[in-house]
Amino acid sequence: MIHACSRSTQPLFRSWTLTAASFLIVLAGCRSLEPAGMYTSEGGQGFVTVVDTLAEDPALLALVAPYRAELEGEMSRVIGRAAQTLTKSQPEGVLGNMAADAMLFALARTGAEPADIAITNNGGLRVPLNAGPITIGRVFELMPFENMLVVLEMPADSVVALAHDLARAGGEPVAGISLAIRDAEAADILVGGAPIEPGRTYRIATSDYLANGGGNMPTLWSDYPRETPDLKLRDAFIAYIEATGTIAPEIEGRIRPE
Amino acid sequence: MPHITNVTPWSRREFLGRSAAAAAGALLVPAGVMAASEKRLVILHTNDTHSRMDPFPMDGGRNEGLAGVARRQTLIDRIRAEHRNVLLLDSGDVFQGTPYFNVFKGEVELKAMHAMRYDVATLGNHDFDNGVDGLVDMLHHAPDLKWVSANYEVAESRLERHVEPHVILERGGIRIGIFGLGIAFDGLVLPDLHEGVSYNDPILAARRQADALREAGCDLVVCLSHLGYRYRGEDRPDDVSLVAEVPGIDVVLGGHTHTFLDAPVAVERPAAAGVGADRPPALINQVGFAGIRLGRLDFIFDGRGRLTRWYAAHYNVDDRYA
Repeated sequence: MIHACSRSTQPLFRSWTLTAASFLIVLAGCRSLEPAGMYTSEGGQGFVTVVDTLAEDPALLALVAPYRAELEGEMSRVIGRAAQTLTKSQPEGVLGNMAADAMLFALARTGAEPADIAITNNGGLRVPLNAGPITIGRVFELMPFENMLVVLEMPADSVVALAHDLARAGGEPVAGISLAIRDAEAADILVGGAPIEPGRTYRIATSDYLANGGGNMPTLWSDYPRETPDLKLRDAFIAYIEATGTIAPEIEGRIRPE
Repeated sequence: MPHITNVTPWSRREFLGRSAAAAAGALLVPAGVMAASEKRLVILHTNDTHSRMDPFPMDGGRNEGLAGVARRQTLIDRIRAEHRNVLLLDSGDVFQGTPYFNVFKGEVELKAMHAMRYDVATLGNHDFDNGVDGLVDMLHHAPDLKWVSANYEVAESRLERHVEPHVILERGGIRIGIFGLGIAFDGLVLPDLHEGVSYNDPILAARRQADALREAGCDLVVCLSHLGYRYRGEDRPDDVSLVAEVPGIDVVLGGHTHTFLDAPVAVERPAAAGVGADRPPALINQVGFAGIRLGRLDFIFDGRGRLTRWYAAHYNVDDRYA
């Protein structure tokens, strides 16, 4: 691409300080929000910070209050229990196993054709699930994002490439696939307990974030036939926990060092 | 793309240095130096408020205790009590970020904006998080709020009746043209969620809007942008390239990148452009996210309605305002 314009040695854009600054203001200890003290030749900030010493407007408080109360009720609703504290870990973690299992479960419950594999990312799991009751609010903290579940129809060789992505990433939450990491490559890859069949296509459930270029598994970014059931990852987690009651995921060697 | 050599915010360091000079009295001028014929327009603005109705919880986080719509209302009311010509604007991403949105789908956010008497807003990518229908179905909660977007083509969608390329408002005889710009959907908004709404080039749209608003006799041309402040080394439109390429814009109130600018950024208009050559530099401002800050810019017009200068407020809110 050819630029017609040459580089100017004169800055095209300059601070306006010299010409305009004399009209800029600073509050000189006055009590009004209006800076009615002295204006100085100074750049102001152009904002006011909404700090906690500001009074809360009663009408706005009253407007929000019933929603807040309902939210507190909804968010404190217990939907299940964790048998032990679930944390994320690499190459495999119990929290990640729960998340990936939940994706397969919730997808199947929508009536869609089940997926062979579910993959999400540790980065999207924001807090552990502590042992004991699990509230809706905690699942919101676990998964604050509105990521949607997507299903990619992937040829067998792409599944192999994806397994290598997983190995290079040091492991991310998966279900339906297992592999060993050997020198940052995947080995002993099994899908549904069986070796990958050349020529077959596989259904991969993942998040729109990972499929649209996020994360560190580039194989997910190619243009595959895609289904977008109307299912948020968070709602998948909630559905799975509610249906399971007490969740007790274990390390099963889904992704393991060799 | 023009080559941008320097875009200078007033840095905090510069600010402190000059404050010291001010304290010495050297640069002080009398307060409120406005001729009787002059008019002041106060623009208040937010961006990326992201469903933050309540202040951030006191959990040790960086923003604990900050923000909250009830406090923002106090601030806005106070400023409105002191000035006749006030506009309250938002640059998008009103939705998403707290369970208020997940559970109530935007109802609380829009009711609060209605109560605060927001005048105009543009659409952010997250405002499509529940799809076009999910957005349109909420808009009645803020019936007086006007939505502008000049580069989202909405004619084939239910947004058609709710979104205009621009609006022209009048405050104290000052005509203010306000148009909106939205970010490309790719990778941000799933196709199903913006069905019927398509993205057009924002720079081209902005040129058309700036020209049209000038021709319509606007004294100030404001762009509500959800493009993002600046993408260094990337060939995509942002607020900095926007003001560089469209000299007819007086002020860009930005969003999307959640940028906390230390001060508004002033960008001199290209001298050759003709349009705007007699006007103060264009301004870009953005106030982070979540309503932690309320942006405020004051514009001064002479007796003929010509923009002569602006200033950026600087004051701390403390318990004197409780």
